[in-house]
Amino acid sequence: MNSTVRKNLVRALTSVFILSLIYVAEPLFSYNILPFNAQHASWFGVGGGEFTPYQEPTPYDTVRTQVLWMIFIAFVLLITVIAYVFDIAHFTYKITGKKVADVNKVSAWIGLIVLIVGVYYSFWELAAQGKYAKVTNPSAEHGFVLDNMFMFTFVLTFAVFIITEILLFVFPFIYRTKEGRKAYYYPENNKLEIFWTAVPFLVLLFMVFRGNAAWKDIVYHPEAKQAQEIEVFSYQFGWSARYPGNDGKLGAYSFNYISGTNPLGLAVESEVASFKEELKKDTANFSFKLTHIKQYLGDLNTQLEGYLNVADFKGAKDTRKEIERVKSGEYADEMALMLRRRTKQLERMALVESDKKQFEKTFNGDANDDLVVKEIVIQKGKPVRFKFRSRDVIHSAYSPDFRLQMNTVPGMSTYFVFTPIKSTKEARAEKKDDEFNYYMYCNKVCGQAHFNMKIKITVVETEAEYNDWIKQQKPAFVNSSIQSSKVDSKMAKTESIKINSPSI
Amino acid sequence: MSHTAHIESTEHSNHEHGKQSFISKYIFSMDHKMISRQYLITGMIMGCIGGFMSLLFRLQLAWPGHHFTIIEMLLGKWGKGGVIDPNFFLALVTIHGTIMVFFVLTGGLSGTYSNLLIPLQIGARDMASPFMNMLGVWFFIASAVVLVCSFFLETGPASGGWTVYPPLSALDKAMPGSGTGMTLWLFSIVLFIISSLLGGINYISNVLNMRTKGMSMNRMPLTVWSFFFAAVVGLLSFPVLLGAGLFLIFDRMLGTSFYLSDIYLNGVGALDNVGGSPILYQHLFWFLGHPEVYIIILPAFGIVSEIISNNARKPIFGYTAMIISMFSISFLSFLVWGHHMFVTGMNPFLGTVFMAISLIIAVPSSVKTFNYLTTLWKGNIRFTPGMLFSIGMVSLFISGGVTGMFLGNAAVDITLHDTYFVIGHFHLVMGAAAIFAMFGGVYHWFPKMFGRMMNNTLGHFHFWLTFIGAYVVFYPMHFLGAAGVPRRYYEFTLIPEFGVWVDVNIVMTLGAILGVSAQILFIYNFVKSIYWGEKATQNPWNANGLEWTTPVEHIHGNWPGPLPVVYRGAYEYSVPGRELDYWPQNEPGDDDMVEIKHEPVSPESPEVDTVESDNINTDTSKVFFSSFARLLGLVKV
Repeated sequence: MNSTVRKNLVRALTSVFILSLIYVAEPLFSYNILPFNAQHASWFGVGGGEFTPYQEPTPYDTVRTQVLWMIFIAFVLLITVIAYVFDIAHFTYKITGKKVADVNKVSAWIGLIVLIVGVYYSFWELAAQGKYAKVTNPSAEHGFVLDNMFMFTFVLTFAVFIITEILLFVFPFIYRTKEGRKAYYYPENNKLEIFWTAVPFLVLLFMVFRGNAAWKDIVYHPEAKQAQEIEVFSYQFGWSARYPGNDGKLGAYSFNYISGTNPLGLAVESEVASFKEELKKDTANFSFKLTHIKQYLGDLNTQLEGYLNVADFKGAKDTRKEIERVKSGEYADEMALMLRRRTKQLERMALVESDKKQFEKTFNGDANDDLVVKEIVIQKGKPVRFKFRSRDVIHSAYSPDFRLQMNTVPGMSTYFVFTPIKSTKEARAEKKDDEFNYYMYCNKVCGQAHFNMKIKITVVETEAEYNDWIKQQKPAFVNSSIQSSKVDSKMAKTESIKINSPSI
Repeated sequence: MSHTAHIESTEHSNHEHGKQSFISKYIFSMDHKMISRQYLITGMIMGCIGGFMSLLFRLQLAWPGHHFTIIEMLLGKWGKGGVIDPNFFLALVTIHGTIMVFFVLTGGLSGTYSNLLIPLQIGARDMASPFMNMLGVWFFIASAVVLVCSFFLETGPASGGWTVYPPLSALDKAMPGSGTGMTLWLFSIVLFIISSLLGGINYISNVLNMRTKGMSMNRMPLTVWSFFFAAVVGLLSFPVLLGAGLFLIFDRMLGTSFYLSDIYLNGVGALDNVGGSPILYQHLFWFLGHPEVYIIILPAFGIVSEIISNNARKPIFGYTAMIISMFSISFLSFLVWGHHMFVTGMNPFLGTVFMAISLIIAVPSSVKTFNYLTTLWKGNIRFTPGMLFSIGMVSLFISGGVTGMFLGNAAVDITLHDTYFVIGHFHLVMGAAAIFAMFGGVYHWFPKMFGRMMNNTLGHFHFWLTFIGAYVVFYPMHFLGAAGVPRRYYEFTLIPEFGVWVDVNIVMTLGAILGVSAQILFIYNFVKSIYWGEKATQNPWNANGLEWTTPVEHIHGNWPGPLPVVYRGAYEYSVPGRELDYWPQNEPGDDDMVEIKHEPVSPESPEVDTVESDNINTDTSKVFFSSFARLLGLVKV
């Protein structure tokens, strides 16, 4: 291929590329581009799991965003053009033997400029965005330990970061290649090696000891024994909490007892008994379905005919799908699996009942008056022990203001003890924001509404306020079910229709 | 082996080379150079896919809820109204992570350069077992295909994060992505592990067994050392992930309860799994997962050491210290996995232990950094694109490395765990850093791989745009993380206090678009140079390594004549008293001639073939097993 053809090819490809970019970018201008901001965020409620993937755009700062886009597209075009121009420069060099620019020199200077801009930029970011970092002014007592550790590490590492980065770019600039110079032959120096092995080692050892002291301060909390215990329960996609009732004790629970009316699976005898009846009915239902597959298939066929008669093709399509599922044995497998699950669940429940000692221990009535709430209220200056449980998958309780994080794991309990030292009111005054609230978020990916799984934590100032609030709460079995999210309840509904309906 | 046998084998291989069909030469090739190109190109394709995915979810993060016609056009039902579905957002994040960690940075980086450089730099005709090598690359390609196929499922690909923690990943009703998509993910990873084990065994036996005469372990280039350590670490840790994955497959398909206990699922009811522990999976996963980051970064170190030393025209400072630090990194990497689990409810005492080891592992890393700085000091530095990318790699490694000091500290990790701080940290320290080493390697060894040079100027542009892009994207993430913004959030606008980060997110997205679009320059340069690049000379960088003594046109068996003999280490640059500022490893010095009395003639003159190498062994299985026998001490060497 000769160079003219090649040049034309390059030109054609570049034009195609630019055209396609314009094609892709064009629709961007025909819509209002809307970044949400903090003001809009308050439109959405506080409840867990409420989620709206798309909001009607309102004209907000459209011009700015469009300008950003235009700058960016111009930039991409610039890259393409530069690439093209320099390619020609390369050809010129090849043909005439004259260099258009010495890239070596240019890059050395760019390196220096990038270094200066970069160092400036990192300090600028520290000032501009560092103020939001939650590394000072904690709302929990152990936060001071943690923040000190953070600041100590920060000062040390930022110094190392700046110094090494400067050296890394200054050395290549100073020692950039020159005609006739030879590099200094310096293959090793054991003293130097030992020096910069020993110094980081000692510094890090110091950090290990400090870090260990901080870690022990936080996890082996001295006040754990007097702390008030609150059970925090996580599920897809929300939180609820359980406070002890008048007896001051949290009752027993089991995942076997979880039902629509008993979302936390509390060991309340009457509730569990009625749930057992329900399970038995379920079992009968599933075994009925398993033994009547042929009949079900016949019914489906009749249904299909019915749909076809009234020309309801969507219905017909769904029915065909279902027929396929039944014929392939998928349906029978699912029914058998559900039957096994329910049977095993009943067996596990029976196991507790057969052991008198365990039965009495479980159903001792402590759970009957427990309070199940959708908002956590704690008291300033009083140690709290959160006991975390999860219903389905791993979640993580995360509240950066309280410097709190602990995973909630199905099948085991985890704990976190802390003492809040700043009430919601104080925090509001400090931040000059009347709508500020403490929240606990989910910080372990758990499904589609993970990003909006949160619960409000209110820190009250006095015991009286706390008592007032607790008096307003009613025991779980008066004020029962968890207010499931929209997504949640919809999912549950469709599932339950599929599983529970005995006939079609 | 005798002299005649050697000649025969060379002739045999040349003969074979002549009549190779298209399929055996380009597709099912057993030649390590072709296999390395296959790894590179597969890795690059996967890198494009992974990079493009990051753009899609960055669009959502910067402009949440905004219509993007392009998203609706590309994603169909997952992008209704031009807005990414939350489930698909998680899928994108998951597959982006999987592709980048396993397919680009492990397969693409380690696979490419181990295959290319180990035989060439130690003076071997090919890998210990070429057939296994070929199987390895095809398992790799198959696993990539399986993963990409999962995008075309009705329920979408796996979407529980690249760590796929059960129970979310074990229960197909927990989220759409945990259905068939998850099965394919696991299947793909099993194939990938097989590929990586086949490769790793090969690299180890090759390094131990097939070094040419004079190439003692302490003369090996640091690249080979790093590939060797990475292969050992991979060989010891990947089987654990295989086990973890198999248990997960059992839990999903056979109804076992390794990771499941006491679960009530919405709409399904209580499950019958009792007695397992989800934490067990995390222990098993991170037992691979942490060494995995060193499997990624060690080859990157190796490549960078080679390029920096070559372009600074200086011996790498502290060759032995480099090896010792790589060894200690490899050893310690097996003992730090718990720092991913400080807040899982693990025994606090374990937190102390893992914190101590995690912070101490910074010592060998900092030794390496200081050694690079000293190598640059008083050098005669040439700014080739390869050199720029290597300096960039060290810069990113420092920036990402220092933030590791926060995350390794159990107390500080309580607030930083799983926030954007973590994302910023690992994208700099192992993501961008390793990618930079990979780019550097491509620019540096492109003449060896394709016999042509890449365009220098475009390389410079590519570097500066990528470098700036990387910092613009990942540097602000540390501030988001320190302010408590959790990772894997579909949007932040539903949480009042995160509203302030919208503008920063827009900047980060523009940085990402810049960084990714800069790769267009690279791909253009790469593809153009393969066909129309300037023809490469024998030793374009004036380097010392044996790889530059092979002919520019690839031949089967690497060296046309006998294998070269090595007289010194790989980093003898600018030796005082020598006119040239480099000294190829195979060039005999005055002292060496005395040392090897029975080989008085330079090995480069083929007529007098007195130099014999003992590593020509056509019976590959014998080589393979004997290397293990030697390792185990069964056979005395």
